[in-house]
Amino acid sequence: MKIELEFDLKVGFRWLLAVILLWAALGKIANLQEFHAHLAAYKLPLSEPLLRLAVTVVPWLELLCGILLMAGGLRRAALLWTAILCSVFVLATGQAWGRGLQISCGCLKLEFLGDGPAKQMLESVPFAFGRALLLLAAAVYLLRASHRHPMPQPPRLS
Amino acid sequence: MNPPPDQPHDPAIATDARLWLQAACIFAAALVFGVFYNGLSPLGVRPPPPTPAGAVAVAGAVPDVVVAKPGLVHPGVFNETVSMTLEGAAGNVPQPAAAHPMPAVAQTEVPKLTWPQVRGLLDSKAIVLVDARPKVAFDLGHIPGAVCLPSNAPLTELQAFATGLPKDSALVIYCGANTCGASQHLARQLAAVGGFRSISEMPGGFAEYTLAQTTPASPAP
Repeated sequence: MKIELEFDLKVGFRWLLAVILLWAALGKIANLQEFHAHLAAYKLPLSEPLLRLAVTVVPWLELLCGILLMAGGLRRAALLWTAILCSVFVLATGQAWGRGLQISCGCLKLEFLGDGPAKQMLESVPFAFGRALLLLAAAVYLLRASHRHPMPQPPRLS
Repeated sequence: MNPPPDQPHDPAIATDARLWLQAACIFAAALVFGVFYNGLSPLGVRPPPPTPAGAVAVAGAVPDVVVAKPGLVHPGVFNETVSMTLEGAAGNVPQPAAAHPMPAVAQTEVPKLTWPQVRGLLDSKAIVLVDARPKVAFDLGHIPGAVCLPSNAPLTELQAFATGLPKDSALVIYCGANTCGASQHLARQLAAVGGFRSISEMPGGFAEYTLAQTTPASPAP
């Protein structure tokens, strides 16, 4: 019974991470300039070419990680990248929160919520910081769990 | 791959090496996809143009040859306004003409225009073109003649913008592309501020404009 619960928790976390990564990636890929503007608003100590590189690569990293987490291929590597990305998000949103920047986090596409308080709350930097922290915890948990219980390998021929 | 016979096999090291190799492959794939997509996307991020970044560009700088992508054109909307000829601009912001047949702002639905229609209006200085994207995106590239007014601008800034224009101004607002809601959001906010004859939206946004610049002109039938 305990084993079943642990398995379900892992699957749930993995799907949660995958869905959020895909959601975040597709919103960014649809409008890279908007993502660039959001990223620039964080006022990170990055040069403009490095910022453009981040805008170019990060959405696709999120997309690939989301797909791999769903499909189950290269799962540990995908979890490793997910943990790295979440760490970066925690640092970025944390420094923005600490500096009191009044910006929209630009993490997820939430246009369907309209302009109400729900959207403002979900896009606020403190909420994004907490969300990134929880996702980081989930990714690290899954990464450590996969290290303790590696995926069964197919039998080798001969 | 089997380890050499004189070295002990450490599965942890082998697993870690394979993990980092796989992670590197994922990064390489993301880099390749990202660079290709960024180069192809009309909303890709490119180095800022060498021209000095001002809040307002000159409306006359709109290129002469513009061919919109067929899928982005919505014919039949505001066609009657395209042929208007109006007086010139004054000051920093292109000034609209005193009278034109654009309808009043509807609170529920913002009228929509395509880039060819907007271009005609812009050429005739019948509208004020408003870029609802953030300032950073505007500085990276914008439609010549557009004014930067981010959709998240505070109310005081919107009011200052409204008071700086004649009362019967016709606004056309755009943002990045169909996927962004900034232009509709700003349209509703400006409608609430009031004082405009009409507020329209260019849903294709900067992507439609960029595609129009990059698509080669097709021969006339």
